[in-house]
Amino acid sequence: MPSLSDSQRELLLVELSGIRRFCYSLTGNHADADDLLQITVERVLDKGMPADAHAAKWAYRVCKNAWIDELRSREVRQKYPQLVEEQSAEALSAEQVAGNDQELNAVSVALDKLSGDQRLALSLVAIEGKTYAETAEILEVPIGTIMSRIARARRNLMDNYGSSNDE
Amino acid sequence: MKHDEELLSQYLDGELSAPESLQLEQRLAAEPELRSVLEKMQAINVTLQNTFNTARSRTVPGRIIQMLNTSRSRAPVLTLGTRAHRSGWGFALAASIMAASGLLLLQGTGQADRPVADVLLAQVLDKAPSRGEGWEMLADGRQVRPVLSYARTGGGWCREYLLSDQTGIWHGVSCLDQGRWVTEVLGAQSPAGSTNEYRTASATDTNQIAIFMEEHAADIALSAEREEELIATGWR
Repeated sequence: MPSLSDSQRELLLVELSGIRRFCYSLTGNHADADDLLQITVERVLDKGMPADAHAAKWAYRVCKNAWIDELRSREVRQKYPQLVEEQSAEALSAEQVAGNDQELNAVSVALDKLSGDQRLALSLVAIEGKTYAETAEILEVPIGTIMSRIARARRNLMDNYGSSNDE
Repeated sequence: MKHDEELLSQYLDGELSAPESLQLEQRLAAEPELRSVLEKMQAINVTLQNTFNTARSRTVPGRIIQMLNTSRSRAPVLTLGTRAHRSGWGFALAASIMAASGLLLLQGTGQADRPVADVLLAQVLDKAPSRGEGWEMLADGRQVRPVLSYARTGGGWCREYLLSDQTGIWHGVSCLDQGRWVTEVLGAQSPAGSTNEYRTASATDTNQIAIFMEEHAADIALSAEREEELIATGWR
């Protein structure tokens, strides 16, 4: 795989802040978002991208895959909790409950109940402002799949966020 | 309702055609329950935006920007500008320090290959007026203060600035070259933790800034009004 061209690198630099926001919407805390962004950039630099690849869409896809890998490793860690330190979870709760982060806490709890597929699709469209076509390209699924995932994500959020807010 | 929720979702995201939107709007006017679901979806959208679309959420750590900048070239620091003699510059420049400043590096003799300012710095040079105090914040945590602007002999414009990052404060001059801000001079003004923003005028790097201006400035520094006009027209 060829390394990044200068124009791809420049495009990526311009898109970095948006991808960082995407990472934050997936992880729900700034430390994990920075880590996910760093992993994304490392992978893009290590593997490069095709000369005709759209740098931003490619990077979002790499980020998505990195997050999915993280979710899978979390599933393994949940099966073997004695092997895991819970520091990141403690930092998450400390960050979320302080001051203005109660809203973040409620939304994050609701988002955590979505499937990974739904959360990815909703983040790209509702937060990143991507079109369904762009989102389908990034997630490598048909547009129809994006439509149904987003609708289901919103239904699940209405059920979970609304109920947690009422508590 | 499942199909309706997909329709409402697409409507919210601007993905329906004009005829489809019109049809749905007619239904929304006549069906309060449908309208209520849309309002809940809109409220969720607003919450997501307000929660995740913040300045903090978009802030990229400097170390990650450096990854993209430093991977462009691992050449040692080059000499900048067009003067033949390099002795006595006294710049405390090393590849890692230059990389930490976020500037792109190219190995060269200073003639054809000169570093191009990264996009964050370039945005400030494009848009921010010169100032005597205070800083423009960059998304990666660095700070920039454009100090003055002047016309360059032969045409074009140059801007002198201070750049502050975790390694210290840098004093530089970048000039527009075919639409890109090219770094002509850069020196370490003061190391990180220093309380002095400026060393004395006899400091070698400040001399090099002055020498470059003496050789390349067509006139005195631009007035605030003239600079404002140029910023408004994209430095044309």
